[in-house]
Amino acid sequence: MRIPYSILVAVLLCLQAAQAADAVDGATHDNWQHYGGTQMAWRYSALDQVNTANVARLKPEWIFQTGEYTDALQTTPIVVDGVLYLSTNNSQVFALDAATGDLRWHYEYPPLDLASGANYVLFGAINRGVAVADGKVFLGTHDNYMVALDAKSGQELWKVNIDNAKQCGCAPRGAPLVVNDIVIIGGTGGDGAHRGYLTAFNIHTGRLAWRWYTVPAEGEKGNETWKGDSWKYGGGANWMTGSYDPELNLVYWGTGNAASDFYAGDRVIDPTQVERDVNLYTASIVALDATTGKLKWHYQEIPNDVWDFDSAYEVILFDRVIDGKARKLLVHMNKSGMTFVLDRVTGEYINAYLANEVVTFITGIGENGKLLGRHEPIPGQPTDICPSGFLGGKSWNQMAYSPVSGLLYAPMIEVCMTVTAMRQEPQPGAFFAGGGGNIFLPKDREYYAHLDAIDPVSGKVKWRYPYPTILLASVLATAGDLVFSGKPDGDFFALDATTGKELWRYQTGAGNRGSAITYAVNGRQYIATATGWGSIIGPMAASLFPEEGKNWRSGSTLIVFALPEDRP
Amino acid sequence: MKNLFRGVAIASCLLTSLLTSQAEAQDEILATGKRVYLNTCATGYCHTPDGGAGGGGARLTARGFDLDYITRTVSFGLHETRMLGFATTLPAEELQAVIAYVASLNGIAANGIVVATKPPVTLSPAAERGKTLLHDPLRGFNRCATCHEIAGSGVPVADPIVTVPASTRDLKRLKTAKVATVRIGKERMPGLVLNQGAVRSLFYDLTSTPPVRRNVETATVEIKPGSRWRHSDFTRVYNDTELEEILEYLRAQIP
Repeated sequence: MRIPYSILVAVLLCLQAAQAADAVDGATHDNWQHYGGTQMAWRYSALDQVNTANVARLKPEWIFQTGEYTDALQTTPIVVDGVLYLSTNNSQVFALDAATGDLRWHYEYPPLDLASGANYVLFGAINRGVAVADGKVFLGTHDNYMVALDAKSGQELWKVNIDNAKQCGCAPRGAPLVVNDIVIIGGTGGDGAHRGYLTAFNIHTGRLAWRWYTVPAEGEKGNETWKGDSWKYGGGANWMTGSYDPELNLVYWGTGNAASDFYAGDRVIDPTQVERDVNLYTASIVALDATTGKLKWHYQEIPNDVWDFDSAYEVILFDRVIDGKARKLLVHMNKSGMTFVLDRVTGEYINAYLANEVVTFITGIGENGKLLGRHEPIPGQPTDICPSGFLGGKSWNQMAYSPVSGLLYAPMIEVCMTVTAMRQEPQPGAFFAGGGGNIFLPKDREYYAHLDAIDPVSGKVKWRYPYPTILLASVLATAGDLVFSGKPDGDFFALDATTGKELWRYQTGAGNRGSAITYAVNGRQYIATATGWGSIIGPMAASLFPEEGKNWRSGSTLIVFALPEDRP
Repeated sequence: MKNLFRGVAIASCLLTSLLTSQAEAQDEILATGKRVYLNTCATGYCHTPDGGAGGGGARLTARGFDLDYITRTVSFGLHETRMLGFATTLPAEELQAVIAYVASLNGIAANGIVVATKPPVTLSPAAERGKTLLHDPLRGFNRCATCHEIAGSGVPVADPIVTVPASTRDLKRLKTAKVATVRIGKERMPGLVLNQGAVRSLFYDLTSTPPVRRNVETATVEIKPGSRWRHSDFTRVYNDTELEEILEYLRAQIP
């Protein structure tokens, strides 16, 4: 029997679609409701009004200045029903008309004042976004409070302390994640003498719902992986934003590195046994029951991390058919650039690959993601490591995932570091890195950053967009077959998602260090990006490129683009 | 003449000895300063171990800083930057030593630096233990610092403590007169009322720890004096010895 050609093509297309099909819809539509777009963290929009055919006509529609110009604007704006919520490093929140930029309300907060001694947090004031749900805006403040505001008026509704900042030196930096009736927030502290956790508050009352400590206490499972009392200041700060699968009711979060970062002598029981489950649950992906905060499963990516290779970054949830079986998966890029694919139901290891070109901290990846040929810092001796622990193989700036192309779009960095590890006594809340160092550029390269289109399961690179200096902005992908991101020199740009060809750029006037989003109001698509260079690693990266870096300007401006009203 | 030579020799010897001892003292200060620098300034994302470029903090070596600038910056930080001030967190001798060390990176011989610091409060061993217990992170939110700010550390939910109870017995018997019963709809909760205005009311919901500062429309809330909330329910998490040590710490901080 001959099968008609058209039917054969249709079957093949269906099979191909099924291969890449996601049972879950992680795409945004008119709203940009969560930090990662949706709780799946795709940073992908189904909007396609702006597309490869017309992106060259994109123009600024409105601009908003926050007034905080001495650092970076690292935020991801949230858009709900035509209102855009924008947060700043000093815990200000602005509610703006998403179509015009008109100010609806402004929530002011006392700015961080490290000089007076009134505040004490490591890393200064940084804010990467708010969460919006139930008619409320949820903000983690620079002095370690969770605040709920009325989304219509900006009126403060409740405020609760997360921890004593003067003692822990910690505060939230990543955006909160709302799941059902709770709002979950992490915090800094992985490089300090602190024991990290996630905290969930009831969105209606602000009351504590649960707290999950990354480092188990005495008597709890996992505590046996710590030497002596080292667990008390074991780090594991969960400083970015997690994901959520509503079908499984599981929250996924990447945990921070163990402390002290570079010196493990006081926290590792047997330095010769570092293959798996060392200093739990640091540098791991964890799945928690959203209702109770109880641990369901964990997968430790970097057992005995001595490079400052957090697992704190975004966890992208997607589905794939593997060996003929539909699998619920997650993909997670560790700070080292090592990328893990796990079954998100069970935590089963599927695959791991290296996304960087210059890698010296290991020689390869073994069975079940085992690190082969570990190149560890030798205490007291400067040791060169690639990628750098400070910048990572990728920074916190988020990748995007497109369900149409089935690809990840990742901003990678090729920078190394000389680490000098040293023993350090923990002082509560103070830096506890067990050493320090300086970054440097690997030799004989033409580019030190690249935006890659990567198959999330195999790690195969489909195309590469090289960039001569650094890329430290998140990536946005859209159904218009476009990928957006920004450069330190101020260029905000769009690439063809299929080929990687640059189609458009706009000079925003300040370095791009935040996260672009897209949304629609009354049928018109807008693309918004936060501009302003800064943070700790922004100037650090600029020091590698003295000529270019002197022009990477700080600022705090939101620029919103759209096609002209007379679009065809 | 012979005596003159002898005198010169002795003076020279004394001067050499003085200079040597000064140099040794200076070396000691710089060694201390370097140790403090490595532990405090060159750990993690801040300055590099050798004071050079490539870390998160600024390069410190050969910057042309003067001693006054270094002293002010190390002591009080830099406004609108991530540079913390260490005047309240480092002991005076360590603060002076690290200033001298940073000065040495800029070619300044920093002898006899005087840094304005608050005289340190010397705590007895019991008070030190009390301080730790009051802030104890291993107790989660079940610790005094969840509601009390002492010497700038802790959460100022309660009014500042002005009188320290004379004994653990008195501490356990503390009245909780300011806590009222707040009713919103069908829900009742113990509340520490901060303000009851015509339009909005502000109170701490003490139902659970940590307390939540609620801001509600006055028309939706009913506030009645008295509550079942007891301070003793929270002091119970400590034993008597621990409470006595906490009181010892409070006595040292609150005259």
